[in-house]
Amino acid sequence: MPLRNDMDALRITLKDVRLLIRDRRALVVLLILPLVLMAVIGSSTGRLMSRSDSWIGRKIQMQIVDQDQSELSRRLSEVLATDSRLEVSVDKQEPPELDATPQRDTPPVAFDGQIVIGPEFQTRTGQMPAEDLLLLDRRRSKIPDIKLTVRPESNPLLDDHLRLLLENAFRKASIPLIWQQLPALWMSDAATDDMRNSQPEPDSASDGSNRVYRFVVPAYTVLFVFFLVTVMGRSFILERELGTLRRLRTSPISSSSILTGKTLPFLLLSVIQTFILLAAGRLVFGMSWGVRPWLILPVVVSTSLAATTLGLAFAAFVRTDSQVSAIGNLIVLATAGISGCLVPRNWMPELSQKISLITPHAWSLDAYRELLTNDDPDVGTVAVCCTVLILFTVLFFAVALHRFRRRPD
Amino acid sequence: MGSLLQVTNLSRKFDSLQAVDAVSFHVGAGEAFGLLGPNGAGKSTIMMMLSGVLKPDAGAVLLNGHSVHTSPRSLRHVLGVVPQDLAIYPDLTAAENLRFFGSLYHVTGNTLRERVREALERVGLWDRRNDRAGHFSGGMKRRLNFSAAILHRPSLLILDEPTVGVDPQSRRHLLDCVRSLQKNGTAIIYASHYMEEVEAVCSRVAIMDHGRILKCDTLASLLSLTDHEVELQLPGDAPVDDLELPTGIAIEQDSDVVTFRVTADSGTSAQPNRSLCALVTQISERGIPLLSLQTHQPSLERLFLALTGTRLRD
Repeated sequence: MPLRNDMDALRITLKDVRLLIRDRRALVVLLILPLVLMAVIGSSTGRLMSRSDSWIGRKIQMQIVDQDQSELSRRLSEVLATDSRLEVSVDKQEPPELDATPQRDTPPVAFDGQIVIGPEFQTRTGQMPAEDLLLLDRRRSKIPDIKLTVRPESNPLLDDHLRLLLENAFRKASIPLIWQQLPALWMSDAATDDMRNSQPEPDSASDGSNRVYRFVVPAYTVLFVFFLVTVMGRSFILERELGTLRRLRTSPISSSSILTGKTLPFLLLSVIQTFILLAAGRLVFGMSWGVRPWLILPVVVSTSLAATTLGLAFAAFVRTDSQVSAIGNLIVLATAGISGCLVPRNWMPELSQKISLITPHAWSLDAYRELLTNDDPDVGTVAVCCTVLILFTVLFFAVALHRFRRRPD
Repeated sequence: MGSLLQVTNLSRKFDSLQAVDAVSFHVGAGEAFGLLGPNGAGKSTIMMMLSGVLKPDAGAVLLNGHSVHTSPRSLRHVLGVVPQDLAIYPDLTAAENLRFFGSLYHVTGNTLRERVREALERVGLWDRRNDRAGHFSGGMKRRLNFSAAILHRPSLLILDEPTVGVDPQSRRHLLDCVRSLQKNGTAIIYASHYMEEVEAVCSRVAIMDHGRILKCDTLASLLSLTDHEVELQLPGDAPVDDLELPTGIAIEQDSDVVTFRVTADSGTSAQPNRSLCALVTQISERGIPLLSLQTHQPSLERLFLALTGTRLRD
């Protein structure tokens, strides 16, 4: 009997896939839309068609003006010069101020940015406590007597990106100073706690510049997958309006087979969409798939299952196309906002972070974050996230089935 | 004839509206049963409950002695349903539609191919089998809608207003198909408000209104409840006041026309004939022009209107 039920569901699925393929316009929109979305993100962040070793399509041209000429300033310059993302030119002279209003179509600008190491750089750095050197960004400390300038017409993210590179390089260059202060550092409980809690900054060539996309791509992927909720709602409304849903219900096929059969095409579509988005993330933004890319598959499938069954539950409740548009968009946008698809969850207040866990999106994002940003992803964490997503799937399907059985069409 | 379908005290309420109220009837194997009623009488609600889509608040629908609502869904292999609204996929071809609906009843392989051909030939769509249903005319869609319900050769075919909005040719073709199926042993439940269709197809009829069955009997018995009638019309200004009206003649007068009705029970026409002759003689002697003279045979429509009234329905 279960085999027969499976075949029944499959028949409905094949019919829906055939209808979907016939509706080429809708199919193209559903598959192309993720790429359009990626292109929009890419163009708005300046990363479209860039490569992983450089996020503006080439190495960042930096000029370092070393007015200190100290051991520490030379070490900092060397560290920056070894960064594969930078093309560094060290100058001992004060250069003219960067042109504040550069003109387009002029010969290539010599530098994208400039770091001026002031004459008191080493002296003032030596006066900094070791924990401030180590925990520069957490303690909101500033690198002493250094001025970073970026050309005004540069990508707005370039300033943040260069600041991050500079901080990392500064930490590396300051290691001898930190060693000198190590005994004092051990005496500081607060610093030790901070260090224990601190996350090491990514340092490899593939990180840093791509950090933002490790949030953006999964977040938009999850958001996009859950947009299927409205698409599924419309599919059910159409089937109801055609009268074919009632004909299905008069047949010997069980309600669960009907719902399964209606869900599978969208599950397939969702998985394809997700891989298009992830592939675009890799090709367009140079986003890494992490050290265990095969673990992405269960996350993709369980996320798609949760999304499509949420769509199923939604479809079982709505009656009109207007309801699909109004309520569907509300659900999609509200859950996206709560879950952290629009704003990173760690930017949210603690209570909001806890509330976000009522959405499947949040668990999916957690799994993606574990896989994409962690050099040694915890399989257990990913498994827990996938399990919760499967539980959401079961819950949504049960709600849809209950409603479908009770409600005449 | 054993009962294939037994409906007992079936009731269903939607909010405050009692759509179906304690309806009972039965349909024997191979019998054609008509369900006649004005719009909103509760026919479609009954059809939905018979096909298992809607659960009744009370009562039971037994198919071959098993409840349609509590028995396994495999029981529905016995049922074929032609819904009131078209229920086909416009983006699938005629053959694809039938293959899909046939497969839902687990008709597969060569059997399915043969049944699809047979069904399409029966409704005259075999030549259009590879055309999308969305490109069909209304009548063709109705025929396809019908054929989708007979692929699995049901013992009981439920038809809910199957000819709504079709041309006379398609209507006649569909009625021929239904009669042909019934002759081959398929029991029919035919719900409609088209009296002539029900008269043409069914041997037993239930007339219902406001969710209740008002009369349920064989067609002949129901027709015997209405009289033969002769209707005679004169101009509205005709001098009829001094006419001596024979017994059994009713007169209705308005500004445009004067109508005389002579009625008789079936088989007792001698007295009405004498009355009619006496009336016609008087009219002729006075030189009053005769506008029309019509005879009305007993019909379901007259019984239907007599039972359900002439008030407009929503």
